[in-house]
Amino acid sequence: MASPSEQIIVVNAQGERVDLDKLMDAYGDSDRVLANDEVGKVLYVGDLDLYALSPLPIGGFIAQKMTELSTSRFSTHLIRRQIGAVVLSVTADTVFLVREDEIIKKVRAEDLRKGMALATGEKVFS
Amino acid sequence: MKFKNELEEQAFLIAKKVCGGSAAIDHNKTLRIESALYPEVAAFSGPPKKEIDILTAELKKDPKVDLLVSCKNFQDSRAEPAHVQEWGAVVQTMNKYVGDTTYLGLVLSPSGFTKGCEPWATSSNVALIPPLKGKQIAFPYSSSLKMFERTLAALTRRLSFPSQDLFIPPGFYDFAYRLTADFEGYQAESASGERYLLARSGWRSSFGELVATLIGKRIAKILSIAEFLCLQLEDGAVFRYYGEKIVFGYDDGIAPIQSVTPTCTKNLSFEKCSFDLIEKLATGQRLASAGDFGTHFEFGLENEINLGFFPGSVLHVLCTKNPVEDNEL
Repeated sequence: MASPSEQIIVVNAQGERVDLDKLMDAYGDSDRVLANDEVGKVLYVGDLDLYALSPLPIGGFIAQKMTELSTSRFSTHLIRRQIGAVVLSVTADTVFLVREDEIIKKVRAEDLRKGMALATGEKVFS
Repeated sequence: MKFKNELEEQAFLIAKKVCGGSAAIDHNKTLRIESALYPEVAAFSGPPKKEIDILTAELKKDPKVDLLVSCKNFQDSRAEPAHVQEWGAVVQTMNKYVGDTTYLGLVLSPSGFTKGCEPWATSSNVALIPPLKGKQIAFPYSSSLKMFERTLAALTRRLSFPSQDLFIPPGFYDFAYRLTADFEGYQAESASGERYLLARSGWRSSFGELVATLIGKRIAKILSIAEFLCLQLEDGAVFRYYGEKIVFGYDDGIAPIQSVTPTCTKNLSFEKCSFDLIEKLATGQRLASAGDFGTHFEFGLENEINLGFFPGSVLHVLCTKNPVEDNEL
């Protein structure tokens, strides 16, 4: 959870990037729709072999298998943060785990400050 | 059926709506366990038993999956870790001692949760509504009920797919979080009023969604009706300007007929012009850009004409080419 959960990069089992808009259009009216309302749409994608890529501080990405894909119709505003070597565009409500002395606490992207260290060891630069 | 409070009644009605007749309420139901020496059953005081008020929703019949809901209707305080810990123990106990049913747990507390609740919720796989998002956000009471309905409906559908991951902590907690976290943006947009609405569903919408839906489409027809000005676009898309409110999206079956002649103006001087001129300039053109100025709304067309909508059924056209004086309409 130290990595942003939104602004995700999704790839298939072959490592090819998946266009989320096309995916939503392709399955938007199928049985896979778990929710479709004023808030947004949620699709079940557990059997499609899709992986969300999260950036690592040393470069590269870690791939996590996805079971649901959600799109919000009212996302909160985007902000830019440099964490480790990576500059991320994240929504303001994305939650990061920050280490303060011996305590791990949750901090929203909008409240991240220069000099903070994430639980995974990456430093916040801006 | 008796309810202890309004929240319990509303949650029950939602569960009944989503799960049908399989929703049930039990008051003072007694759970007994053999030993209370383990941390997860610390809430089972005195003799190893626990009296609980429980809302059960049967989600799946084969194999049987039930959701156990705890409704915390606190007025001035948030639910505390002890409440989540207690519910985690209840769900764990039920799973341990009832053979043919798998249980999932959810705590519904419209007043929110204190920060310490999360570790208990994730470790015991109990979903929290409203979600904890790294900041104490107060969601309205009605939003918590909407979140509950959304989660319950999504969960019943989700269980028709392979769902072992939901039963491994914090699978169900994360599932409910993903379904409820986006209410924050929805809440912020709702607070700014109901300026944008979707045509078919009547759902609240946003300027961003209007742009994503309409930009690039050609204008098929411009209509003026007593209550609103209307653009009919290709593919059955519509844009209706009511002044305070804007309705857009795909046609909801309303086929408006031109009933009033709008006031038509042109250029920066807002001099009067004919409706024919506006129709001639705009019909068949693609929408290239959009701007909401609060007082009025404007579309930029591909032929470098701005088509403006003003309160009181006023349509305005303006050429955006420079120099202004050489490009008056």
